[in-house]
Amino acid sequence: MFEGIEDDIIEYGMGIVDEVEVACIRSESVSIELKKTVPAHAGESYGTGLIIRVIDGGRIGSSSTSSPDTWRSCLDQAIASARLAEAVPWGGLPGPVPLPGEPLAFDPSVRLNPDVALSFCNDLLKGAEEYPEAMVVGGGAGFSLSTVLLANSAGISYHEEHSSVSASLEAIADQSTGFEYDRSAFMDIDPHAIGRTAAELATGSRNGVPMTTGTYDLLFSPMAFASLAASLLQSALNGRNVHLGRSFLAGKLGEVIASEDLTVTDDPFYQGGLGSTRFDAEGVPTSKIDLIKDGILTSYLYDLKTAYRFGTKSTGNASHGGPGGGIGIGIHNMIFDAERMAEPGEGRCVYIHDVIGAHTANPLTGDFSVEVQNSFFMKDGEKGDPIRKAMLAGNIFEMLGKIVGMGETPRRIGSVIVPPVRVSDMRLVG
Amino acid sequence: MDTNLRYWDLRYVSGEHTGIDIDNRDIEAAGVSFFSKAVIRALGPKGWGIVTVSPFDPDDRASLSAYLSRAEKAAVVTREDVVLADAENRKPLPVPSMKEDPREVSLEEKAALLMEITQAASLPGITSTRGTYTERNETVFFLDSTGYETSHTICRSGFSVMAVAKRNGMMEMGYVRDHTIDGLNIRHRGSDGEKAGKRAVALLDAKKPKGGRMRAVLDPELGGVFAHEAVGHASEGDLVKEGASVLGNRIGEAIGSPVVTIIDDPTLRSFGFEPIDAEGIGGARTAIIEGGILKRYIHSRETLAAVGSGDAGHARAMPGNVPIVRMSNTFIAEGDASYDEIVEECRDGILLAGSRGGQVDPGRGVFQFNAEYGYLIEGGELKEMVKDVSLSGEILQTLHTIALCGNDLRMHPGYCGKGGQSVPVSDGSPHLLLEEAIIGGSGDV
Repeated sequence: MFEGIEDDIIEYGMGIVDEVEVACIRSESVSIELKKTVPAHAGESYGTGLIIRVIDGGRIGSSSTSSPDTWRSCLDQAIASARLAEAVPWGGLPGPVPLPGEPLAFDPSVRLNPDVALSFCNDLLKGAEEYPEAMVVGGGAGFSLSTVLLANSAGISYHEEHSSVSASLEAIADQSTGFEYDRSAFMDIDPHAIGRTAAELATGSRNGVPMTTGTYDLLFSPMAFASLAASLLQSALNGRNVHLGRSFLAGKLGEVIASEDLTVTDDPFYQGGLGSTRFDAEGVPTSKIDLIKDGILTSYLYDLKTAYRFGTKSTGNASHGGPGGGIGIGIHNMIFDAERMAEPGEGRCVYIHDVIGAHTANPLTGDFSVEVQNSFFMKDGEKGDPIRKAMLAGNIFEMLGKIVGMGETPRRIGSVIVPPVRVSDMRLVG
Repeated sequence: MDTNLRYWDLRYVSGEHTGIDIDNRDIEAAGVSFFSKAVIRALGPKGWGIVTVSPFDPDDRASLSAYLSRAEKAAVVTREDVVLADAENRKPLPVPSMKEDPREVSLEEKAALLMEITQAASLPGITSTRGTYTERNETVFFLDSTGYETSHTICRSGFSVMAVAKRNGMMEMGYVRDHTIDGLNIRHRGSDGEKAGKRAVALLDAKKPKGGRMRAVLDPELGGVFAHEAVGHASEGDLVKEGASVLGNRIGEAIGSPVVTIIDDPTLRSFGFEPIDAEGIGGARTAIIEGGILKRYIHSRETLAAVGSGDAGHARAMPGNVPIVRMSNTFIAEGDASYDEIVEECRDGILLAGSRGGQVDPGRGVFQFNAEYGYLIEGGELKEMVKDVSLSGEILQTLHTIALCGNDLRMHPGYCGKGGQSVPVSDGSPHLLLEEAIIGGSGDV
């Protein structure tokens, strides 16, 4: 439905400004939502989005609309937006380069078929039945397909397809809850296992025991670690935050900031990763970047504007997310790795499956205090008594220095890929 | 429309969004974007078929008819026996008039006003400032299979200002925000920028508390978050219906001390105001807890029919999303204690103020929320400033520990997330004294 529209916009816009960039996004999805064990909602969605960005004398403006037919008023607003913005030293939009290869986040076997969504729901429920004392509260499954077209006045016309498959289940046993989900670009999620895990967590976390306030070794599940650490670390690595004085990691390039075996990578080519892509939101080819290598901070994340402004190169991390569909800085797939432990739950530790309130952490300093969810005393990798309630307090950046090792098997949590993480000396308030 | 459906409705929202982002005295981005989104719900013999579509043209009845057919077809796989409560109150409230309509102020002027606020945050010791302005004008059109039709236009706007202070490698931030339905709120607000700057500098000298069980005083902003997280979510009819709330089957039970009354009121002129809910039902002031007794849940038509006890008119939705049961303006009613009495009665404990948000697991009945700052209370007086402190508790126990409610209720605007949708809300409370609270902290004071 966009055929040719991008050429019209670029041609018209170039009569007024130096450069024009157009992104067209089209998506469709189907989903089924369970209420308790019953399919209650069956949904379909159809969406389009048009984002126009213009650059004139180093001033960048943008606007977006869900009605591509009205692109002229969207372009007018983008131009008005540029008139107001502060000029930056701008070196131009990227031109085209060959980007060969199969799509990275697209599985042609993903179909928008409600019958398949329904069979996923049935598998979720069958999985949950393995723990009959847990009651299913809700859940669901869905599939989506989207296409992105990115074109600019430097000659780029890139096209990419994405698919996404997701399923989740929530269960309760007495006053103990369990939640599990998975989302992938490929048809490789296991709804039966998702249902079983949710029901197992709810059943197993009943009859929690009180715990004594003190310092403990912890084993974080991938889910708990990702929700505590990923967005805070991403914000601290954001080049704009770094240069404008809002990052804890500013000025620490080349310094040891974490355990000596921690490596954090942005891998835009990760197979099946939800964030996998060959080009970023402004058409810069992506590449694999070590952000932290063996505990040493090795790179920040940049888009073009921030890179031009501070005399460095874009790392291909532009993402749509700013106001008016403007460009922000993001991570594609955030991969955590450290020395693998055959048994990360060895000795005595507290296993933490999830936390409540991760988003309330201090985004600047990394200080947090959150409530633990589905946590257990653990001995030599075996779960013991569940913990009734406890608050976990600490600092994300200090915590990166207390990582002892990681389990063998990573899992994906959105676009974060991380194994279970063993951390020493953390404070729990019982 | 000629269908075999028991019921259908259309909610179409269109409008524009204005955003301005000022970073260290530079206008980073400023502009206007447009949206046009519809959600069409169709009730088949059993459950809902739902189509969301963007863009949408409400005057194109042929495409509405086509989407309804799709929704009807989708509903075939559903098995839930959905029943809707009668639509009683269908009279929309007038949208309150604005003191100054932001749509009549140019983008340039708004940017200049935001610049004043942001620059006022640049006090000695401040190394970074950021100001953002957001404005959303939306026109909501609602139509259902009974022929009922309503529409309204509402403008929500506001700003936030953030300041970072740095000293000897230490960094802290101060943050002030205000959002409203009352019209442009960024004139003469330099004092808010200054407040953000002063807070950031003061926090450099604040200590981290060590945490544990203690008496706590909550300020009105945090008390509001407490009402929202500890009670509001668990009283949502959908969670009660699905067995996911510890407040299920407890109507008539004393779940809090007799001083506690908690109300959700979408008709209140505050940031969560709705002229009519997302199902075309007039809002109701719902007293969830009165004198410590659980009295009512908040509901949609569907959850009211399934659960009872309470009021419909609490369904809300983001543009292009399915309506779900949501809070609007949630608050703890005033008591008669003065602020001084509350701090004195606390004797030894902690005062928590400002909010960085919270979260609840309503099924487990455990909540958590975080304060921006606080003060230790010793001998009935405020002492040392503390930072990065949060509170968690169990819903069924914590409300019993509220010993005093102040006489100084204030509402604070914000956004609440549920089911992937974020909607504008306000929360409020007077100052509160909790006899025992679990405070999380990693420090040693």
